Amino acid sequence: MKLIPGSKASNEAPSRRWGILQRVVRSLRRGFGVSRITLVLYLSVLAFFGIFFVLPIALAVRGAFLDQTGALTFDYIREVFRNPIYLEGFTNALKLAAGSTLLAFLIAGPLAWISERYEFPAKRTLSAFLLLPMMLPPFVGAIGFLQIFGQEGAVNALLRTIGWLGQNQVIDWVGDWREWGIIALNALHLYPILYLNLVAALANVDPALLEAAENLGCTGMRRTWRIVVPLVMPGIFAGGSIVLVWAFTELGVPLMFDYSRVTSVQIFSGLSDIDSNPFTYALVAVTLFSVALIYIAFRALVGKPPPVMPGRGGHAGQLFVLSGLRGLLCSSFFLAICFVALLPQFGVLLVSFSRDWYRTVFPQSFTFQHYVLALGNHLTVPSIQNSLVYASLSTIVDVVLGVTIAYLVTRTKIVGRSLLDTLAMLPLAVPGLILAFGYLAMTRRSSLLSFLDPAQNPLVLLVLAYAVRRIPYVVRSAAAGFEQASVTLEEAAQSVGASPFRALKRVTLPLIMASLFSGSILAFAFAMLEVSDSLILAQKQADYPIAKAIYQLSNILGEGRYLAAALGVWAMVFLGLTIAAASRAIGAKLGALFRS
Amino acid sequence: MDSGVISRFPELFGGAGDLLIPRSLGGEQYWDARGRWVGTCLAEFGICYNTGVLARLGVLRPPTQWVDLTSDRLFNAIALADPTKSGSVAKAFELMIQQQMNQRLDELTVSEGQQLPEQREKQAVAEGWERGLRLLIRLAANSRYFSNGAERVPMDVAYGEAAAGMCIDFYGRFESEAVAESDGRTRLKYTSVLGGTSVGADSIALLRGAPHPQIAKAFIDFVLKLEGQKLWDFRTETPGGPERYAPRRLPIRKEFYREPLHAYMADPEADPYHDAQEFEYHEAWTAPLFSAIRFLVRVMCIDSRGELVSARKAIGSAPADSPAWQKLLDVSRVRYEIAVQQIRDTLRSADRLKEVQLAEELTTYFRNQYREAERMARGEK
Repeated sequence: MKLIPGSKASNEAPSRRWGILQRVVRSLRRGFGVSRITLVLYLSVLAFFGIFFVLPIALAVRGAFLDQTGALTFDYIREVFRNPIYLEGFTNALKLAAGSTLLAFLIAGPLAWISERYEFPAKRTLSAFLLLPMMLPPFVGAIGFLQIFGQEGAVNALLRTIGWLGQNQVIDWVGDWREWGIIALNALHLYPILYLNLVAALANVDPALLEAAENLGCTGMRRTWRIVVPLVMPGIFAGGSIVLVWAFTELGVPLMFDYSRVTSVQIFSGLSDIDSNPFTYALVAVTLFSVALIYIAFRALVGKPPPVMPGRGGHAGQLFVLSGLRGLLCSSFFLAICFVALLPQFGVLLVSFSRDWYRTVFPQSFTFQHYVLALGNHLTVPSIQNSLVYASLSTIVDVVLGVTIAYLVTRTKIVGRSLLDTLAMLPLAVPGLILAFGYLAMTRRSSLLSFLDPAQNPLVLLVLAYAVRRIPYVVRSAAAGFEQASVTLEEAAQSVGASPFRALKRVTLPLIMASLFSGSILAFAFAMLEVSDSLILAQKQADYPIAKAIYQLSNILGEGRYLAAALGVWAMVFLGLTIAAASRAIGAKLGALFRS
Repeated sequence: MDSGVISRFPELFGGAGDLLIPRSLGGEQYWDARGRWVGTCLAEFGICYNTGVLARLGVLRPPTQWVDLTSDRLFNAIALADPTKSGSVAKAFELMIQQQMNQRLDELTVSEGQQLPEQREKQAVAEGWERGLRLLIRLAANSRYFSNGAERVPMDVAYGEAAAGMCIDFYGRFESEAVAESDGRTRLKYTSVLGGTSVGADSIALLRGAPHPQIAKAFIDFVLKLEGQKLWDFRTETPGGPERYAPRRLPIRKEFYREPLHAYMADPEADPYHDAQEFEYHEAWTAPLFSAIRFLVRVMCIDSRGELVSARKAIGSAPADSPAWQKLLDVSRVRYEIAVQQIRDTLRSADRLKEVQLAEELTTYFRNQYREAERMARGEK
């Protein structure tokens, strides 16, 4: 190697920098009071979140405040609030979100109350069925919903058959009640989140308080309103805020309903000229701030902890056993909700087997052909393969990160571990739409990470997007496992010579495997049908995951809608089985994963 | 780049003969003289309609012209696609406007023989532009929605969500076949709008720097030879036809529109070379305003659709010269010269803020206008 003047100095520079870094690490270790490996893990996790969670969101927001010359401007944000179209999109998003949340409450509230209070026939099975709609993306159900409620769809055909409508009459369900259709699909998809939270919250209400109220003459609805509702407020906050934000930023359903005057669709439409249109950034920024405001407002309104919330104190809640007609009524009510909630999916199922379905209650004739064609279609099979690859890789990332975070939070005393815990849960609050947009902003031409451009290959970004969005599930299940597995076992292993890593690998990990498995399988299942990220980040046909393939197929002439339905059914069956397995493993703790 | 295709197919692109494909027809270019691109199939715009829904709505005569879609009976029954999302849809809207310009020019030619041809053309373009915009407003006033994708139009019409819609020929024909009964009867029909659409060519080209130019040239040749052309629109199970689906695209070679090949066509009634003569596309009239037309459809029809539809409902079957109709169809704010100057310049500017502000201003203007028309209509009743 040829020596050049100054090379000694340049050789010394890295070693000097390395020395400084070592000193920093040492002082950090002293400051944090942890081992080197713990510190490295902690900093790595923070770096991951910094680059793939905080940075994209920051870049998406930044674009809203810089003009063409790079100077600070508030013009774009101001214009969003001045422009009637953007404003209407924003208020529509709020209306849809509020309507969806309210309807979800109306469905979930009675169910949770009955479930917590009564025992009735087939309760366990029906309760499990109630959770199914949560697992199936509503935009897939939209195919069935539109078929059922179309002008020449099943409901109008039924009304004609029973004579409520004349042969030349139709009710324009979708046209006249488009917003209600979106609200219904959102609510039917999201009510399980509220149901799980409410059941958990109701289970925590101390029966002694209810008895005390009753002794003092406060009974019936008054007792529910004065005692139960304040006590379950945290549950309402937890579920309600997730549902509200979810519906506020829902993209798939409005797209399927051709409802374009809503912020999420306006952002989606703006992606085609992301390099030159600052208003999409402004919409993203406004959406993000709104989401933050929703959380704050929800916490202020209903999230105040109840004045007294003692534990159950050994009291078991009284479960009234209903038999005979009353029991049957409860079962029927649960069954009816299951039926209505799964109606769109039944519609998808029927479409997937129908030759044609027009002006009749059920398809005129059935065929298995669409499933056969789907096997040879250039979109379906690759999309299943792609989704399996994306979801598997993202689950691996989630498991590695989730175990690391859970370990740092539960097993170490590192300063800032609660911050880490909060950071790991934050993706639940950030809509996929915003994160995906941030990834696009982060990998724009001429940016440092442009080599990750999803137009070339979306693998890395999709895996990361799925992983970041679903990491809370894995962190929570791993943390629950760590908390249940006594630390003394690990200490015992270390006292007989095992290194901390070996003790973790040989003792603790096998103990938390069941818990970790259920969290991972949930993360995997959701990643398989992730909608917003997939619609935005997968840009080439060969890279489409299932969700995007279904959307594309539903817009293809001829057999497209049938193939979309067939692929949707395949995905639903796959997801249903996965979730059933997860739900069996994780049991009653499923609700805990959806609490913020 | 030049693929050499012109010299390899002299019977199509050279000299004379009845196989010769014209360089241009009805104002549309069909092949490049330097061989950089050549058309392989033809496409035109038209109307798809659901016979059952039309019958239900009491429309006895199927629509054949754009103006037929503005009928009172088709209120809230027309499916349209968003021209800001699709270039071909924007082109269809442009052709509607050009049809009005052509018609105005014909009227002026007949009535004002003394006028200089240039003046006559200028007047026809300006007045036809306004007539065209009025047609667009009336069409949008009957619309159910503006869908994100042009494919949704024939699909929704086929499944009865709309009575009729505007679509490109092969979308309509393909979907029509897809919902046909086993005996060939179909509820979805398609008709090209004679005199309301140009017939354009979809082309093929060899890209500069192509990694396998010989294979690319061989493919271009295949697409232009009879065996390739048969695949565009021969029925399935005919000699040389496609195996599973006919793409329902109209081949560019002329021999497909006469016997013996004509007998095998999936669309024997189609004759694009005849249709092309019914319309003259003048690039200079509207092509520079292509973005402006998209923009105007957005502000006049899509972003203000709620007010427009509401006003149309209130107007009902009032006579065309009623004040409410006049108000609804007032396009003086976006006259041809304003479109050429203010709107086009703003859209060309790199400052997106200006574009958004202009959109906001015009949307508000038209919304107020439609609200006013609605008030007038209600006052008249």
